[in-house]
Parts: sequence; structure tokens; C-alpha cells
Amino acid sequence: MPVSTIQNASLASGVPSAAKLPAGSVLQVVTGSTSTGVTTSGTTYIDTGLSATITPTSATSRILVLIGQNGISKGPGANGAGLKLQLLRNSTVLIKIQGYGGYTESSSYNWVGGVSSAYVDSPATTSATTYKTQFGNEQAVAASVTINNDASTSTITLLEIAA
Amino acid sequence: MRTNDAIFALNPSVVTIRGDIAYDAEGNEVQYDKAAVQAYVDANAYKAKRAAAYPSFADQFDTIFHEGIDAWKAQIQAVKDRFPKE
Repeated sequence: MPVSTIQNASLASGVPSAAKLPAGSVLQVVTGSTSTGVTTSGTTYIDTGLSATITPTSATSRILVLIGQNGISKGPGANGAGLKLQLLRNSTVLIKIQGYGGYTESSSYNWVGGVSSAYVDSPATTSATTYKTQFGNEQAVAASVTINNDASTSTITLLEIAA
Repeated sequence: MRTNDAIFALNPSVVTIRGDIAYDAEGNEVQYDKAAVQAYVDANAYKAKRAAAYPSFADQFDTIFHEGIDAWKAQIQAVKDRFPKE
């Protein structure tokens, strides 16, 4: 149907509701960011501080998650350190984004820069849903890994896509 | 040397540093001496300066091959003299 034939009267308040938009439409955008540096030598995953929460308008919607995790570095002290990074929906791990980031066979610094990732999720809910990243050190060695080094800003963007 | 690395070096119980707050493996906050940390950073600053100024390994090997060990030692000593231990 040509767009020119759609009458405002057929639409709620003259603006298409999410339910009337075609598949693939972007229904809402949510963003989050952090520039607080976090460093760890531990192998247990911990929160990076990067997160965003979205409440899908439909249980059939898909969520496109765009991540820019910046300021990644490996500290000195021992061989074998490397950054591991994962994406979670609430407490469920969705993907491992990075493994052994910054790893070198030396004990010196290694400045990696940033890691970006895109993931399409189907949360099947209309409840508030939080996406976040966690990181840790791949190996238990006396060296650390860092995110948001030198006040670098990491970002997360959530787009709800109509099914 | 970054401040966080100095905190790790001086406080073995620290596992994570979030902002400027340090935590142990159980997530308990660890108090640390900020003045001592800064002193450690200052005392180790020459290492980073030297590391940045040294020629690459490839260039160093090239110097040894073409000009000999004494020439290489002079090249390295020049960097050490430029950035002395404080």
C-alpha cells in the first residue's frame, strides 16, 4: 500500500504504534556508558560497569546489542595475563567477546585499545532486561588486565527491533 | 608505571581496583597508602621512559651484527644515561 493512502485516523494518535510498524523497524534505543577504570588480576569474571537496561515493547522483539569496550590493556609483572570479556543478559552469559586480549609472551605492558561487538538477542520478555559486560584475567598470574584505562569511555547501545 | 600497578605491587591482597578503590578476592575493600603508591610510581617512572626509548629488538640485533657489541652497548647506555634511576 502506498504510504500516501494511510490515514492518520487509522493510527493511534496519528503516530504509528510499535505494533503497527513493520518487521525490522527500530522501536527504541537505549544507551549506557562508563569511563571508570577497572583493573583486576583475578580470573573470576567481574562487572566492567558497562550496562544498559531495556524494557521490550513486545515479547517477540529482538534486541541488537552494540558494544564498544575501550581502554583495554594488560599490565606488567608476569607472562600469561590476558583479558577475557563476556556479554550477559541479566545473569545469563550470551557470548564470550574476547579471550586473551593483550596477551604477549612477555611481562611488559600491552595496550590493546578497544574491542567492539554486535549481538542480536531474543529475550522473549516485556520485562526490564539488563545487558552488561564482565571481564577477568584468563590466567592466574601476577599481572593485571584493565578496561577503561586512562578514563577511556566504553559504550553499550541497545536497539529493539520489531519482529 | 600506572597507579594501579603500583597498588598491586605494594598490596599483595588486592585483586581488583575499581576507580581508586581496591578490593581483595572476597570483594572486601583494601585500604592502601596513597603516598607510598605515588612514591612507587615516581621511583619506577624511568623504566617506562627507557622502554619507550630503546631501539626495537630488530634494530638492536642489526646494530650488533653490523657494528659489534661495543656499539650496541653504547647505544643502550645512552638511553640509560638519558633516563637515570631516580
